[in-house]
Amino acid sequence: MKLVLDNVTVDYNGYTALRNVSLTLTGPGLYQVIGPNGAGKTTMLKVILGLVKPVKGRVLVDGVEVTGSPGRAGRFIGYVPQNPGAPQLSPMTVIEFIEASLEMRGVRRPRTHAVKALNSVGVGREYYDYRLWELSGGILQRVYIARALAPNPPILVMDEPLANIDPSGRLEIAQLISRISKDKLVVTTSHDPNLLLSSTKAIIIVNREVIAVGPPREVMRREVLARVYGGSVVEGIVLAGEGGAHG
Amino acid sequence: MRIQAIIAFTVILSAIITGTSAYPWEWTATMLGAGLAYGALSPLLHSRRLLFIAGAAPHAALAAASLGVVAGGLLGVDHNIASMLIGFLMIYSAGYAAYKGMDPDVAAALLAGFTASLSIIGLYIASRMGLQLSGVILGDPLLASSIEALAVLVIGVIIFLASLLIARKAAYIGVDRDDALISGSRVWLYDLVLYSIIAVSTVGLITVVGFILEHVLLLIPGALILPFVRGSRVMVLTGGVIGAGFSLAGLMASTTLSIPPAAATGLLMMAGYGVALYRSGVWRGG
Repeated sequence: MKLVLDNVTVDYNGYTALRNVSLTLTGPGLYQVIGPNGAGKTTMLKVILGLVKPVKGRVLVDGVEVTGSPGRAGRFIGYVPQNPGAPQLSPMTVIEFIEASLEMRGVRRPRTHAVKALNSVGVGREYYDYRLWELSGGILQRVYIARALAPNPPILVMDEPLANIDPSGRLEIAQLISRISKDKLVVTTSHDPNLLLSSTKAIIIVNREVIAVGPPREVMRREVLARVYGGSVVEGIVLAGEGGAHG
Repeated sequence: MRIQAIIAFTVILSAIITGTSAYPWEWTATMLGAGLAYGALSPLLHSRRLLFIAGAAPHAALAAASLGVVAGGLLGVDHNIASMLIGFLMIYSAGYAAYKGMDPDVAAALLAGFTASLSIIGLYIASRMGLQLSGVILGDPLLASSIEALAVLVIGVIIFLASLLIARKAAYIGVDRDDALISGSRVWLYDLVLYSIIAVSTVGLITVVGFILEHVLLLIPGALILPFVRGSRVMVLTGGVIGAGFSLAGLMASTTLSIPPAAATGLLMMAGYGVALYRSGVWRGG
C-alpha cells in the first residue's frame, strides 16, 4: 500500500496552509505528522481524504488519483476526526452509528461487521445502546476507531487521536494504534511532540511545509524542533532517544 | 420505552376514533396530517443540526404563500402551484448554499432576512387581491375543504414515510458529514430529500397550520422526544406518533375551550415539553 502526496499546495483565500508537500508513505506502518497549531496537519489529512482540493499537486493511493475526491479516497481510507463528534441529543446509538457508516458504504450484513469492529477495539455489548453523547472521551474515541476499521480499509487516518483523553485512556489508545499499524498504513497527527507513539515508522515534521521526515531518532532533534516550536518550548520536550516514546 | 409507546399508540388510536366520530372527518384528517408531518420532521431537523433552517423555513413559506397569490393574480396560474414553486426555489437555494460549504446558520439567516422582506411586499399586494391574511398567519385547519383535508393527510403520510426512510442517513450526516462524503454515498441526494420535505411541510401546510405555529411545530416535538429516544428510526416513529397525538388532542381542546386548534396544539406541546424537561432532569439539576 502506497500513499503519495505529489507537490501539494493548499491555499485558503490567499493564506498558504501547505506549500509544495511531497511525501511517499508505504504500509503497513505508522507515520506521525507533528507540528504546532496552524501548521497544516489537519489540512494535510483532509487533502489525503479528498475533502480539501489543493490548488496544486495531487494525491495517489496505489497509483489511483484521489485528489479532491472524498468518495474515491474513502475506498482506501478510514478516518478518525479530531474531537470526534457526539452532538448532544443525537439519537444515534453506538451500534447504529457503525451500522449506518457501513450502510453508507454499501457494505452487506452491517451488523456483523459492526460487532466485529467494536470487539476489535474493546468496546463491549454493554455500550451498544448508549447514545454517542453519553460516552466518555476514551470510549468515544474507540467507537470512532471502530467506525474507521469496520469497512477494513488498508489506510487509516487519525487526527490528534490522543488529544482530549486522560493519561490512562491515552496509553490504551496508543497501544491500540500501534497494534493496528502492524497491518495497515496509519497516519496520525499531533501538535504535541511529547505524544509520540513508540512504534512510529517515521515522523513528518510540518510547519506549512515539510521540515523533516524520517525515523524518530533521526528527526526528533532539538535544532529541528526549535525551528518549528521555538527554543523555549523545546526545553520541555523529552526526545525519543531520551525515553520520550509512549505507548 | 415500549410500554410508553403502547400507551401513546392507544391514546392516539382512541383520539382518531373519537375525532372521526365526533368531528367532521376533514378536521381530523387535517390535524392528523399536520401532526404526522411536523412530528416526524422536527426531530429529524434536530438530529441533522438544521434548527436554524427550521426557524427560517416558515418565513420562506409565508413569502411563498403571499407571492403565490400575487403570481396567480397577475399570471393567471394556480396560486397553490405558484406558491410551491416559489417556496421550493427559496428553500433549495438555502440548502444548496449550505451544501456548497456556506455555514448552514448563515444560509438560514440570509433565507430568513430575504424572505421576511419579500413576504411584507407579497402580503401587502396579496391582501389587496383578496388573500385572507389570518388564514396564512394564524392558520385555520377547520376551514379546510374536503380536497384540502385529503391533501394535508396525504402530505403528512408522505413526509412521515420519507422521514422514516432517510432518518438513519440524515442522523449520520448530522454527526459526521465529512465521513458521509468519504463513504461515497450520495450526500447531496439525502440533502435534497430533506430540503424537499422541509419545503413541502412548510409551504404546503402554512394555510392550515399558520406561519406562527409552524415555528413551534417544527422545533418543539424534537426537543420534546430527543432526551428519551434511542435510534434514529425510533426517533421518527415516536415523533410522528407524538405529533399526531398532540394535534388531535389540540383539536379536542380547541372545541372544548373555543380557541383555534393550532393554538391549542401549540400550548399542549409546550406543556408536554415542560413535562419532558422535568422528566429529563433539567429542572432538578440533573
